[in-house]
Order: sequence, then C-alpha cells, then structure tokens
Amino acid sequence: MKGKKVFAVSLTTFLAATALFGCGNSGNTQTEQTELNMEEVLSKDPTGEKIVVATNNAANGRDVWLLENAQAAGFNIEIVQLGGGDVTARVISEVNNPTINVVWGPSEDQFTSMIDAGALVKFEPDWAEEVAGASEENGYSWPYEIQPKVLVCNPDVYTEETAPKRWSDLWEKEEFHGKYAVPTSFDGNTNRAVIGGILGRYLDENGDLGVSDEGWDAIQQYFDNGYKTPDGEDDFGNMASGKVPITFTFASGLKDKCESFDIDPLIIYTEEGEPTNTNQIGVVANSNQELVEESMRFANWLGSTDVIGAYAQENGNMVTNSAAEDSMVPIIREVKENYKPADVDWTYINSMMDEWVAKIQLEIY
Amino acid sequence: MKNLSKNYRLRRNIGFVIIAVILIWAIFTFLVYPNLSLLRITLFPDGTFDVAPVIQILSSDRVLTALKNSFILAVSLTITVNILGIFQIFVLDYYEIKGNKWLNIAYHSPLICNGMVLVTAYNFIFGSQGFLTANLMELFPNMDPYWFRGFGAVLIEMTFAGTSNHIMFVRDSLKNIDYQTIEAAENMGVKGRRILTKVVLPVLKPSIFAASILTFIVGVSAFATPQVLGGEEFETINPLVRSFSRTLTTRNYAAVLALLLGIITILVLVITNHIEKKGNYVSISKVKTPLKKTKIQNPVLRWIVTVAAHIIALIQTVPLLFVFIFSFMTAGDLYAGEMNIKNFTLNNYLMVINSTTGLRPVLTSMVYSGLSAVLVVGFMLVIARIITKYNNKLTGTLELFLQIPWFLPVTLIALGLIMTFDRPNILTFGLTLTGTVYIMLIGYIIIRLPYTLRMIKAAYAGIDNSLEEAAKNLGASTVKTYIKVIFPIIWPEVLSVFLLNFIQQLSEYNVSVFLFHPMFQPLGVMLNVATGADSTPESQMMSFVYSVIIMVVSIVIISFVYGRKSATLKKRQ
Amino acid sequence: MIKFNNIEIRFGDFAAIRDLSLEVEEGEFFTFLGPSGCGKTTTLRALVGFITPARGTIEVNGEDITYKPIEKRGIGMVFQSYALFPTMTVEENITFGLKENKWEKRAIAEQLKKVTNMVNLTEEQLKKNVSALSGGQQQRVAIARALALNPKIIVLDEPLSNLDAKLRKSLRVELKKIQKSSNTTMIYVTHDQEEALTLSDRIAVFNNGCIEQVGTPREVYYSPQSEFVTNFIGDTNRLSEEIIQEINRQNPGADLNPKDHIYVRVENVKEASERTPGEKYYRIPAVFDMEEFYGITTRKTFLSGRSEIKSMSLKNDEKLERGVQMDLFVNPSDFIIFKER
Repeated sequence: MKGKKVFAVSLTTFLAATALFGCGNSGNTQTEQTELNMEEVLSKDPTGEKIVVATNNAANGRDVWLLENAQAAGFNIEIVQLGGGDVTARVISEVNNPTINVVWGPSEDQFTSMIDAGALVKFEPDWAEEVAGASEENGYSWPYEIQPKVLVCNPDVYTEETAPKRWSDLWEKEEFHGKYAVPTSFDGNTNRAVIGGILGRYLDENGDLGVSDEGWDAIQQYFDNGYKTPDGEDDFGNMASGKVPITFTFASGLKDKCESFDIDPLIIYTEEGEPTNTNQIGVVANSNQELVEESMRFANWLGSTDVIGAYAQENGNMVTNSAAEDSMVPIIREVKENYKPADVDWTYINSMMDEWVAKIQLEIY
Repeated sequence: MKNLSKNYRLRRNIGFVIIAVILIWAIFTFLVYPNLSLLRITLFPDGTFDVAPVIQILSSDRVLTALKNSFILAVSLTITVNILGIFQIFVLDYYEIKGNKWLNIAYHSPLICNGMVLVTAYNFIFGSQGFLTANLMELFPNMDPYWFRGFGAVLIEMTFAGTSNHIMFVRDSLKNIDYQTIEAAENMGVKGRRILTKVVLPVLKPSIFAASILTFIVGVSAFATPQVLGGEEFETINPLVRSFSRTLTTRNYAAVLALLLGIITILVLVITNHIEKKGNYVSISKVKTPLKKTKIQNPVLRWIVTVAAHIIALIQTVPLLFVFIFSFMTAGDLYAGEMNIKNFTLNNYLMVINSTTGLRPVLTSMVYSGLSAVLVVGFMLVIARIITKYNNKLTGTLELFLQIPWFLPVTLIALGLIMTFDRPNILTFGLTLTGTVYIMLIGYIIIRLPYTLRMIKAAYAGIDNSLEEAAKNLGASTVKTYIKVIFPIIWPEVLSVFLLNFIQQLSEYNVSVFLFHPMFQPLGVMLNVATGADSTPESQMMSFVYSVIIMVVSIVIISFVYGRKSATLKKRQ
Repeated sequence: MIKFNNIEIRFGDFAAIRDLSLEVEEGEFFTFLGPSGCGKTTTLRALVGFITPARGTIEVNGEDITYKPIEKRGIGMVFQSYALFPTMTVEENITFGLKENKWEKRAIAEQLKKVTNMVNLTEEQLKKNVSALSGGQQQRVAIARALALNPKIIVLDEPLSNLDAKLRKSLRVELKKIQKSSNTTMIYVTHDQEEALTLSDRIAVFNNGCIEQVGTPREVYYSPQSEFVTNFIGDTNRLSEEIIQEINRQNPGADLNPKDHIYVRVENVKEASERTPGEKYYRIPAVFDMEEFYGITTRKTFLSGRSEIKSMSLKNDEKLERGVQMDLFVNPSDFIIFKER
C-alpha cells in the first residue's frame, strides 16, 4: 500500500515538474561576431595566453610532439585528448560557456554540427588557398588532412586479380562472404564513412530516410555476410594473420598499423572510389576576444605548410596542404596518387548519418 | 502550558526546517531540474511528445531481445552473485579453511580493477585469441575458439567481479551474528547445514537483500561485459542506450529506452522496498558472543570446499595479474596471443609518463573521487537519517527522487547538468557552473547518490533505538547524540561506503567526459581515449598502464581505510 | 512528587493509556506491575519524555514537565536492553551524561568512583569495552550510568529480565540498597510479581491501559480490589461451581452463591493437620494428583470431583501416592469474593 502511494505521489510530482520546468535550454548566447581583420590577427606574435586544444590526434606520443613544437612557436597550450564524437558533443553542449578553444581532428560533418550549433567562429588561415578544394568551404573550419577509407587485403591470400574490385563485391560475391571485417561500432568517423559510402549510392527521395529499399538491402547484406570483429581481436591483425583477410582502414592509420602487425598489405582502389572525408581544424567561439585571436593564430600555425608537413612525415597523414605534400610518407603518397574519392553527396549523407546509424542499430545490425 | 509545548517544538523544528529547505533546493537544482529539462528537450522536441521513436524501438527485434537479455542477466546475476558471495564470506569467516589470509586478499581484489579493463583482460585470456584459448587450442585443435562468449561468459565474468557488496557489507552482518544463537541451535540438536539455513541465513537476510538489489541494478545496467564478452549472441540494452545517447539526433531513442528500463526497475525497487519493510529486524541479543569458526567435519567436503575456495581466489586474481603483465607487453604480442618475456618493455609506462598530461590525471582523479566520496557520504548520512526517522510520504518521495541516477543513463545526467548550468541560473544564485571545476564534482556526487543512500540507510537500520533514547536521557542534545553515539556505531560501514565510492570514481568515464575541466583530466577519460574507436593498438596498451596505476592507488587507499576500520572494530571487542 | 493527571496516550487510533492518574511519593520504590502490553512501559516513557501524552499532564515537584525536553527532565533511566553505547568503554558510558552536562573533570572522577562503588564495578572493568562484559556486569554499568547524574528520579524498564534467576535475585537486593542509600525515587517496571512484591514500597497494577489498584505489596496481595489483581498476584484457586455446591451441601447456612467468583489462595488451602484450632473450616473432599517440590514448600494439586484445587504447604516430609483420598480445608475468612454481575 505504502509503496504504491509513494509511487503515485512521486509520479504526479514528476509530471507536474516536467510541465512546469521543461523548457530550460533553447537558443544560445553566441558572442557577437565582429568581422575580424584576419591578416592583422594572424600577423601578430603569439601572446602566450593559455589555450585549450581538444583533439583526437594526440595518441601515441603525438601530444608530446605537438606540445613541444607549439611551445617552441610561442604558444601556451593544454592538450585535451578526446574521441572525435566526444569533442563534438562537448563543444556543442558547452556552447554557452566553452572550455575548449581549438578543435583539431574531427571530420567535416562533425564540424558542420558544431557550426550549426553556433559553437565556432569564422576565420581564414593563411594556408586557405593551399587546401582549397579538399572539402566544401564553410568559412569556419578548415581541412588539414584527407582521410580516404581504403580496403586492404592480406597479400598472401589475394592478388590484385582475386581481390575484390568494388565494395559491393564483398557481399555480392560469395567467395568474400565471411572474409571481410565490418564495423562493430558506429561512433568512429571511419565506420560512419564506410556506411555512408555504401548507402550514399542508393539515395532515393521516396525511400526510407532517403535511401531506397535496394540500398537498405545492400547494407543488410554487407553486415550479414561480414565478420564482426569481437573485442580482443584486431581487424587489422586478423587481416595480417589471414584469419579475416579483408578489412578497411583510414589512410592515416596505415603507417602505424602496418608497423604494429608487420605487414605490407594489398591496398584496393575500388572502381566506385573510396569513402573520403577530411579532418579539420576550427576555433571555438568565446566571449574573450583575445583568446579567440590567439586560438586563430594557433590554428593557423598548426595547419601551416611546415608544421603540418612535419607532422605528416612523422605520423603518416595525407595532407591537404598542397605545399606540404612532399613531406608525406611513401605509402601515403602512393595512396594519394591512386585513390579516387567516391562520388556521393557527402553533405546529404552526413546530415542523415545519425538517423541511418540508429536504423542500422535497431533493425539491421 | 500550551505555549511551552509550542516553543519547544518550534525550537526543535527550526534546525530541521533549515536542513529540509537546503535539501529540497539541492535535490531540485541538481537532480530533478536538469534531468527534467533534458528529458523535455529530447522527448518533447516541439512541445508535443514524439511517438515515432517509441514505435521504432518497440518494433525493433534487436531492442526487445536486448531488453529481455538485460533482465535475464539481472535476475541470473542476482542468484549467482549471492551464491558466490555467500560462499565466499562463509569461507572467510564461518568455516575454518586453510589459507584464510590469502583468500581474504584475493576476494577483495575485484574491487580495485576498472570494469572495462577487467573484462578486456578476461578477453585477452579467454577470448578467441586469448592466452588460455591459444594454449588449449594446441591441445584440442578442434575446440571452438569462441568458447568463452555469450550469456555464460558474461554471467561468469560479472559474477566473479560482482561480489564486493557481499565482501564489504553482508560479511559485516555475518561477523555480527551472536554466536550464542548458533550454540543454542546446536544445543537443540540442529545439525550443521540446518544451522546455516535456519539460524544464520535469516539473520543475514536484510543485508543479502540490499546486496541483491544492488546486484540486480548492476545486471540491468551492465555495459562493458556484455559489450566485450556477449558477442552477437547476447546483446544487452545498455550499450545501445549509451550509443544512442551520444549523438544529438538519436538522444530521444536513448531517453525512451532509459525510461522503459527505468519504469521496470522502479517496479522492482518498489516491490523490494515493500518486502524489505516487512522483514527488517535487529538482533535482540544483549550479550553477543563473537563468531567462532566451525570446522567442516566431513573430510571430503572440507577438501572440496577448500579447493573451491582457492580456485575462486585464483579466478579473481589471475586476470588482475594479467593486466599487470599486459602493461609490459607490445601491442603486436598481445594481439598475437604470444607472451615473449624478451619483448617486455617499459615503453607503455614511458608513453604515459611522457605524455603531456603525465601522471596529473592520477592526482586529479584521486582528488575528485576522494572529495565526492566524502561529500556524498556526508549528505546521505543526513538524508538517510531523516528518511529512517520520519517514514512518511514526503520522505518516501525524497528517497525515490534520490534514486533517479539509477534510472537514467549517466550520459543524460551529465548532459542535463552541462546544459542547465551553462548560464547564470536563479537556482545556483546566478552562478554558471559549466566549465568550472565544480561541475564534475557535482556529477560525481549525483551518480553515487542511490548506492550511498541505500547502504547508509541499511547501517542506520541496524541501530537499537534505545541507544538514542539513553543518550537523550543522559542530557545529550540531538546533535550530540548523533555525533557521540550514533555516528561511531555506523563508522565502519561509512568507511566501507566511502571506499567503494572512491574506487568506483577513480576510473569514472561517462560523466567525466562531458564535465571535466580541461586542466584537470581524470583517469577514466585518459583510459577510454586510449581504448576508443579511433585509437591505435599501441595507444590501447596505455590503458593497461592506467589500470595498473588505478590498482596501485586503490590498494593504498584500501589498506589505509581497512587499517582504520579494523582498528575501530578491534577496539569494540 | 510525581503526578500523572488524567493522561491519555495514543498510537494512531489505538489508545494505549486511557485517563490514567497516579501519584508517586518522594523516595519511594514504586513499581508498575502488569502483563505485557498493559501500558506500564508506555506510562514510564511518557514520564521520561519519549512520548508526549495526547491529553493530561505530568508533574514533578509541582512543575508541569509534559512538554519539557527529555534532556532537561533530570530523570535517569535504565533500559530493558541496557542501551549501553557499544563504541565506548565502561567508563565512557558512565561518564557520558556528566560530560554532556559539562561537569568538572575532578567532579567527574569523584562521581565515577562513587557510582562504581555503589554498583560494585572494579577499576579494571572500567577500561573495558562494554561488549566485553557479562550480562550482569552490563546491567551494573547501566545502573551506574543512570545514577551518575544524581537524578532525583530513576526509572527502570524491566532491567533484570535478561538475567538468570540467581543473578536477578542478588541484583534485586542490591538495587533496593542502592535506592535507599542514594535516596532516589525509583519507578520500576516489571511483569514479575515476585520482583514487585519484594522490592516495592508501593505497586500500581496495570491492566489494559488502566491502573487496577495502587497499594503496598501487602495491600495488593491481601486486599486485591479487582478480580484481575487477585488473579495476577499470588497463586490462587477459583472455586468451581461444583466445589461451592459441595460446600453448601455439607454446611447448611454457608449459603454461598455458586455463580459468584470465589477465590482462595493456595497457601490457605489446608490439610487436616494444618488447621488453626478454633477456626471454622469448610471441608473439601479431594484426591491427590501431583506435587511440585520447592524445598521449603510443596505445591500440591488435587482433584475434587472434576475440579482442580491446589495447595501450598510447609508440610512436605512425605510424598503422597497418586490417587490417595485426602480432605482439604478452607477458612471462609480467607475467601475473596467477587459478586456475580
């Protein structure tokens, strides 16, 4: 009896409170955007004001590299390591009172959601021209790296002739069933790009969530016939050992992964092209104008030819900065020459991705 | 005369009213308001309730299976953890078993390891490419490499990792049993096993009950273990909730799922609360005789129990040892399932120490965990006292509100906080909390509320009411009575709750990732960045280093706290 | 000294005490006696202040204390469960109240010595934790703790009920001594009539939330005012209709009403040799059934027709055979008669 009463009372209170205090957060108090004279801002020396840089690029000792070089250039930075999704979610939810100043590393669609939330400021780095064309310009965030997702095979199992030629070969040809790894989580950029690359070929205004039945069927087949790498196994390791000889990776992961598993994989350049996105850098809006300007100087410095070139040389990135291309490691240079970006509408794909992923998680996976 | 009575009551009530007002403010501000705001935004995006996600969720076979699995897991886990936990405490304190000291340490060991890391360690031992599996495969080439996967694996891992409430709390009530009641039963000709079931277990009932509820909640909200060991065969609901709660467009799915789960959990809690109220009793012994250990008479049985006790100890400690070993290995070796001592390296440690954050996260997490554990215990000492003393509708409601963190995904709680306090708010007297060092502390306190409340309530329930009356009768005020009489009695339990809270928060991730101040990155975030989706195998190795650090810190704290606890208890004998 | 004026105590809808009035004199050893659930402990707790009466007032020395805070009443209490603070030593328990009332250090030491002497606790026991003591010793600590504040009134709630018979008896004597030497007013709650009779200056017999009778032990024993008191105190026979009719048949003019409730105490049921010469007795023929041998006395059970009748006698040198015929004698002046209602 008592329990029931308590339950009823609390439920009523709860409902009443929902009705009363519902609309807490809407709109944002974005700082007024005064047109800055970019040239003037960027030409100043670093002031040494502390800026917080959130990035998913700082693993494996790269944070040390970044910190040392930034300090040498006169910047005072605090590096916060977070996954791309976490950085994005955090920047958006902190829009009214940001703690992060520079975001380095998330993909363009993640930047799009930050821009939509009003979390970033407009700025244009010195190297804007060198990266022109790498992604659609938005005036806020700038690409410093291209990230094609490539299929890789174990060279002992497949030759160029026997390996899949297209992504769709994986599920359409029985010989590859069970031989390729599929995404097992849906928050990483790579996995999302792969899904986008597949579904993006079947866009249909009348289809469910903008995708035709055929498309949903394809993705279903893709997952059904693939290998879901369990935790404790590594898809790249499985590829190297031949257990599951086909997998995929983001380009900048190639160098490290090949070294870890000591393999020189067969890289497939598919007929339909590789799902590709760019990783970008942006400056978070803040009411402290000096902080914003220092952040812009830092972002400008980080993406500059010398700095990003040195970074790419060390870590195997595929840079957007045309002047820094010579610094890329051989395997990346090879990929850059051979891959072709999949010709799909990434803007639309990215706008639908969360819902697609939800549908996949609920109905397909 | 009437004046006198009014005056007296008024004076007594002023303090109470002040406390009540502060409590109501704090609970509303930090617990109710942010969560309701967030639920409102997610569930009523345009002011009307969007039914689409509900329909989609209810028509998804995967979700329904996962929901079912979560409850199967919760129920099974409650049973298995009770069996194992009760076996363990009897081995430690009731029976005379060889190697007691070692068993005592071993049975405490799951306390010190982060859940995610522990299950990862299990996987690297028993998983398809794990060390044990690799070795077994050499002996039995035809065996299934995925033998340790699915419901059974999840249940086993969670059972062996889940007995800390038994070891910490149920064990205390076993130690408090009046040995005379056992002697009395023996004297009446009751034999060994029936003494257990008829005399000892009924006395343990309240604490077993509390531990069961906690275990049930752990089972329902299991995340890491099903994610890693469940495989496709056994998916549970929480990994889905978490994944949905992280992106803006799917947050409503998470909210709907959480509410669904919450309603069922509330039902279970209300039912159990009801049963609990009926069956609580206090020991009536005036003169307690301390528990004496019994020797198991049957030699075969004694041998079986001893062997089982030690096997359990090994199962609980070996994975931790492996975590330690892994922290010296290279990623290549680990994934290949090869343990080459020649390749052992300190590189992983160097990578952690040389990173820009270095060992700062250790200090950060210790400070936050320590502070939040002290504060949450402090608040709950007051609130649980009020709830136990004044059992009415208001306190019943209060108690239910305090259990909100059990019903909502912690990601949503963190988001609620961050989005509510990102601007000056009347409720916080015009202060903005988002982006400050305080908001993570608040988050840490909130997520430990339900557990702490329950444990401290149970501690109060064991106190004989006449002690308080005696103190008042001797002239002590209410406050003095509490400080000098009541508090010292529950001090050992308070220490245990503090300890568990502290250790749990050392590696907290879900709340931290949204709330931490950029200058103070906690261990949990570092650990998860190292194992996240975008990370490389090398950076994953750092997670073992962070785990070793967490274990070392935990061991230091446990020995310190336990030292004090046993000193207190010894004084009483 | 202590006055209860028309108090009523309710627990929700249930009235535990209905309109109770009572006066206790200074220096008295006063006992609340009654079966469990009769309201004696409730009344006691109202005096100490744990319960506030719904109606009526409680006075001590003319002061209304009905709403006075517990800690200001200056009434010592010994609890049934002793309520010793388990985290403290014996000494800390005893001096707890003194420290709370801000006594001087030296005064505390003196008082500690005084009360521990009074209850016979040794120096060495003082340093022990209370849980290390036996039940009897714990009880001494509880009494010492109540005595420490020199209260004018000490209330004791079934303090001896957890002890064995022998210890109970010896502590009983000590308690009485302590009461006299410390000159406190003691109110003692018990369901044990032997305790009540041996200890008390006066007894209030409780039943069902009311007081049935107040009087000295002899008064309540020899002149019970109600049938309940008659039954509750002492060992009595109620004469059955069968026996009364037998008496009427044998003694024309006895004229006893068989519907009346006629009681006679067991010690007043005599065998032929025990009769006082010159007194008038009614003879009841009976058959010996069984005996309980106490040493000093023997309690014997007989059957008269189908009715049981018991006697308590000093004559116990020989054991009777079961089934032996025996005449029992009762003196009508020993009858306690409650008229048929």
